[in-house]
Amino acid sequence: MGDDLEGKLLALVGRGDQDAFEELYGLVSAPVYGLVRRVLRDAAQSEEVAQEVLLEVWRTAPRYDPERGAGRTWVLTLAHRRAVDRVRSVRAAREREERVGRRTAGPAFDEVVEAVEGRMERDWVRRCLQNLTDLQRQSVQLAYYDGCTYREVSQRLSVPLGTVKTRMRDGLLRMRACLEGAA
Amino acid sequence: MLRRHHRSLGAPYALNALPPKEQRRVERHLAGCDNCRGRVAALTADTTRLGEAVAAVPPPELRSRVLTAVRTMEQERPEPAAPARKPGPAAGPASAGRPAWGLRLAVAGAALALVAAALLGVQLTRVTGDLDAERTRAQAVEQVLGAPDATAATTTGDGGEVLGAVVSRDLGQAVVTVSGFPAPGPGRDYQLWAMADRPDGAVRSAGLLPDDADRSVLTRALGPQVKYFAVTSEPAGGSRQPTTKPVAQLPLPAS
Ligand SMILES: [Zn+2]
Repeated sequence: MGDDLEGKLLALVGRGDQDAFEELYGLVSAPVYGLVRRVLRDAAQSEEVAQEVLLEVWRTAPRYDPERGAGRTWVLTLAHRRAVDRVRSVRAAREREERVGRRTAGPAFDEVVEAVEGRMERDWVRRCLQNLTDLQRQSVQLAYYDGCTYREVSQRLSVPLGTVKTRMRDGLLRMRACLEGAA
Repeated sequence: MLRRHHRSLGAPYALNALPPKEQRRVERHLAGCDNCRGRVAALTADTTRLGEAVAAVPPPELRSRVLTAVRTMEQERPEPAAPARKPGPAAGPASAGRPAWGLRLAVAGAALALVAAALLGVQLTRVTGDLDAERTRAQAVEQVLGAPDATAATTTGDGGEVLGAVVSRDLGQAVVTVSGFPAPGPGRDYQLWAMADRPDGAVRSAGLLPDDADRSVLTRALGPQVKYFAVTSEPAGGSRQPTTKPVAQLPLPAS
């Protein structure tokens, strides 16, 4: 954790340090925006949600507790929650409107946004995702990149709930092992 | 159920793939179980890698909007309230606008955008004063007016004084407009107050109205607990607490 720059900046931001926030913006805005956009797909909505997230980072930084995890993880977890909240409410509204509501499967992993920094990281993550079984990979991706609940994942992939849960866990653990090997 | 470690829910939780009820159940458990908390923290860190892998540079305007908003946005302190602030009138930015929306503050986003454009036009053509500060303020106003959750409220006092506000709870910001106020009189100032809950609840100074209180626009940080704005006439320089009956009092939209 010694090199958790985002965490150190968050501690400063929590005391109202605007320069630290500006620096933090430089570090996290691309992952935040990229992730939100990957989940929402719509550029305008993504910008709006990314803005909400970054302002929430400022507002709630006093509550950040380094014991609970790295600063980057804290910020991205927040971004993911907000993106998923939005996509689920949009989805719910749409399904109310048109009872048909069977969404086409999301675009494949590579089709979406141009990652700009951390190209190495991206390449490794992709490579490691390819190491997973199909079921592990799809379970993880449908949940994380498409904002599906595990029930929805189970319906989409036509596998039992219990299987989805363990595939999610196995997938993440296998990805972790692969990335640690890569580091 | 509560005693169980929900081992199988750790990964779905970290992926944010649980419905709200199960999510809360897991959170209750995590609060009291170091083991599970450690495991879930590691899984959450794994998901972060997935997020980083799709990083994309946001449009540059986002940066200026966010950094501008932050300059005046209050932070949420953890529970025990922060030590009493100096209540002195936070020297409000004296800003000029026009009583543009004196008539009626529209709630619709499109209408707000028009108002913003009008205000910006006015403010940016003012050559006197510090143009940068003026511009920054104009951006702050624009941002609040353009916020997706912006809602407007307005009230008219007995003497025709209009106090209006456009509030974005998401941004924690309000744009306050004042028009039709008579001159405060010698040795007096108008002071703006932010109040919690009820009109007689906790009160905090939100600064003095500038001299041209007939036509002012101010942006103000807004804690979630603030439910009312009020304007009172106070001895010049302002008071710690309101000492007179409000000239105008405005309940704010909740969200
Ligand atoms: Zn446990």
